[in-house]
Amino acid sequence: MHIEPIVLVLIQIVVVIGFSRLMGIACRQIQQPLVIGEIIAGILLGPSFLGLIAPDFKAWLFPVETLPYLNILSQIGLIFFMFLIGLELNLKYLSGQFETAILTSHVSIVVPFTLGSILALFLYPLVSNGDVPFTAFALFLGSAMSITAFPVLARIITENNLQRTKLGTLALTCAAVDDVTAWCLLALAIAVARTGTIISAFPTIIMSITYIALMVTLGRKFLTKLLIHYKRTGRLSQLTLAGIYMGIVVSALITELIGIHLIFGAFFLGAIMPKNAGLVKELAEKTEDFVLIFLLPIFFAFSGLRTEIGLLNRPELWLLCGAILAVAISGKYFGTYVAARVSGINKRDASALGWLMNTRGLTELIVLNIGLSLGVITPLLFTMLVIMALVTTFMTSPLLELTYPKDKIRLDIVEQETPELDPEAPNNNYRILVPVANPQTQKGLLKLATAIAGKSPSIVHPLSLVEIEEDYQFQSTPDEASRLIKKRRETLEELIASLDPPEIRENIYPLVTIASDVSRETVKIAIADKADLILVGWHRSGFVDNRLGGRVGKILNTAPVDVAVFIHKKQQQQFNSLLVAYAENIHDDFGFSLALRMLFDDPLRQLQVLRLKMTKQANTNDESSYEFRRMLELLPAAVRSRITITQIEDSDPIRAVVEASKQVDLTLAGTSRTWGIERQTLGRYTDELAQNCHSSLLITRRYSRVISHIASFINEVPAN
Amino acid sequence: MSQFNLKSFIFYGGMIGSVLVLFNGVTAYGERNLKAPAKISGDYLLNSSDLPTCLQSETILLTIAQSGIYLTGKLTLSPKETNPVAQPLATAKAGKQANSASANKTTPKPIQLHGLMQSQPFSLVGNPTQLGSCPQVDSPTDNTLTLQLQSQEKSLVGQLRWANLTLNITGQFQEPLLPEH
Repeated sequence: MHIEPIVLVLIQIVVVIGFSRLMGIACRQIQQPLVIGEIIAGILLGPSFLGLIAPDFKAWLFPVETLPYLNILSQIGLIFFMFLIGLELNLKYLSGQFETAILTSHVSIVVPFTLGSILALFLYPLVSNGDVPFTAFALFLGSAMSITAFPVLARIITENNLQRTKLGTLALTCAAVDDVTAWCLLALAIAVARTGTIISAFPTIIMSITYIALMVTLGRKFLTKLLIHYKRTGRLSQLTLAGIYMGIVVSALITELIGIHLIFGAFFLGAIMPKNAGLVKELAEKTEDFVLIFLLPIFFAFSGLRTEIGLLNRPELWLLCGAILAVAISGKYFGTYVAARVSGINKRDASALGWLMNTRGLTELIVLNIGLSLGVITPLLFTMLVIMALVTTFMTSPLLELTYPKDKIRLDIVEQETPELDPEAPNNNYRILVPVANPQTQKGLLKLATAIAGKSPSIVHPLSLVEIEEDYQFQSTPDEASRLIKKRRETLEELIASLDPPEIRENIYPLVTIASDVSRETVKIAIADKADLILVGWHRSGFVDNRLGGRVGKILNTAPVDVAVFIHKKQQQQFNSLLVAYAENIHDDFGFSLALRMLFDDPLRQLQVLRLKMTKQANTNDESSYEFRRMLELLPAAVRSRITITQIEDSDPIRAVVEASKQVDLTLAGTSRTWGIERQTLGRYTDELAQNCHSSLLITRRYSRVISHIASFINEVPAN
Repeated sequence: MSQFNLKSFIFYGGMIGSVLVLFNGVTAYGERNLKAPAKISGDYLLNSSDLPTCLQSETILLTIAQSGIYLTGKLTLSPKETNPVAQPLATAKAGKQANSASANKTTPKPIQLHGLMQSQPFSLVGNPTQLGSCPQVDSPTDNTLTLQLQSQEKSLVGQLRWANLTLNITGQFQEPLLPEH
């Protein structure tokens, strides 16, 4: 059957995008950047995997006639991607720790570049061809060794919440300097590869410098006028955007004609764009989706089609690959480490910086593809260097975790936001973490948290997580992430300021940070914060009907901390009358103790306990019964007098609670079968009471049997 | 930028200077003393004056992929009357790009070869059980196919050995139908 090339290309695109996303998601699951998944997807679709297991299918799917189309699409993608990289590059990154950054970044380029050039002496006779000048080969290998992928590194920094730390800003500055230097080196390598020697490349070099000078002067002047126009109109019209896109393509064309490469023109234009936050944001957001979702995976697939791991078919070739890897990693790591140490950076930060600077990712792949297309590197060396790029990018996150653990970063964030409490105070340690998804709608949740927390020095941490879903989205750049954090913090502070009476605001210290997985990060912050309680608002999951599904379900299932889920049914902001559904299990005990905390907090508050009359199992749960009695005995009379205990039959306890909930502001119930809130085998909770309860509902799930939620109050008040 | 002082300038000047000197030294040595193998990759149409009957009706195309001294190759045999030169070329090209055994089921599977080019002549070796319409050889000791070749200006000269067969062959370089990517 004859298939038109266009039909086949469209099928290829569907397969490539789908598979890239799939692999990207898989990599996100193992805490790896999306780019790793996309690179692997490209390799798997190529001769290294699909070509091995299903050669006929691979030959049908990627026949040679369609490769030029894929190549053109990938080049267009590359042009716009390079524009985005340039757009992201901000001179602001160079403002802090300039001296240290310049030293570290230059040494981190010089060392691997030099080692790469020396390695070229061994590799050239083995894996290069006679028509490639040694100088071009050495320049190329040196450049390939000294690359740091600024965009990938920037995302890793944001994801690890390092953008506000000294290490994060230093790494960003170094990577920005590295990026610019490496592109200059690459431009030189291309000019030499095309002309043969450095001397014959001089005209190209002079033309390139002239072009850069023109872009920085005239180009920038023109773009400043564009900024004025943007500020006046307040938006990027399609006409303006068309002009910018034409500018990108023309600039790319000029650098291609000069004899360097089309990516440089696009990069320059992005780099000299005025870094107005609004303009950059709108331009990036309008451009990135199509480029990152549609065009970039094609580049990865095209690159993967050229990667033939099968070419490494002799042990000595794997040894050569190992040597390349060793030179690349050690050159970057030790170069960075030593320079950072000389600049006075501590050992741990210097080491983390060394691993961060080893991130080569996508930038390396761009360089390698240019090298292969120009014939400077052979398919075998290309494959070895792709493996090197993959390994160095893959290892960054785990090695960073090893030297600079996320738990430590979380602890730093929590400590920054929390005042020094008096260690002598016996009750200084009651902490409530309140994940706040939408500050505008969760005033009731925060109010409840303050009621449970009671008076200072208990601490309520409203936690707002800025979720970053994609690696390359503009919102995941450190600058934009910081802006989002600031904005979220302002909204959160507005919410806190709206709480009455004013004295309850004193205990509240908001935490705002970046997360790629909200529920997992919430749990980890709760651990770092040593929270006694996670108080989470009910969140309707988009895909799960169950009220306790989605993120709330994940927190309930995984947090090694006591959790309470608040379902705000009425619009009342006061919790004057409470109802505890009590069936003598640890979760109900926990709900009861939270209710007692609230009684201590407000002398006008009343509590009704609906105690399920145990029949057959009456004597089998003595521990819980004892806990209940003990809690009552320890209470001061002023509190005990406000508690009414009613026995109910176990024929239909849920209906009894639902009926009683009509008279109260808040009902508390543990996650037990009795109340229809039960964790099923697959971690799903049934939610009968949640659906039918008339008042607001607080569902409690106890994890720790050790923590006493009322110990501090009982110690404070002499027993009557 | 004002943080830049004379000390820094001397340091960076010295660093960049030494890298340039070292790089110049390395490249001067490399350009003068190191020699990479000549480029021989491409498609070659093989011919022989003493072809056996079983190969006379076949077009034999050798595709060499080269990464320095490391060679991989494919030998594609296809009937002359149904396959003009362009077809095996396209088939071999597809096979080279896609590294697949064959582009479609109607074309013959190429014979995979590998070898080293440390000196001239160089060898490419494979293990086919069948060569065109010649009698099948199943014994693993007898089915080694060796191409011993000497590269000349856009051509190859040498011998093909397989089972009891020994042929003097010449290979003519074929311009690629599609540009390299």
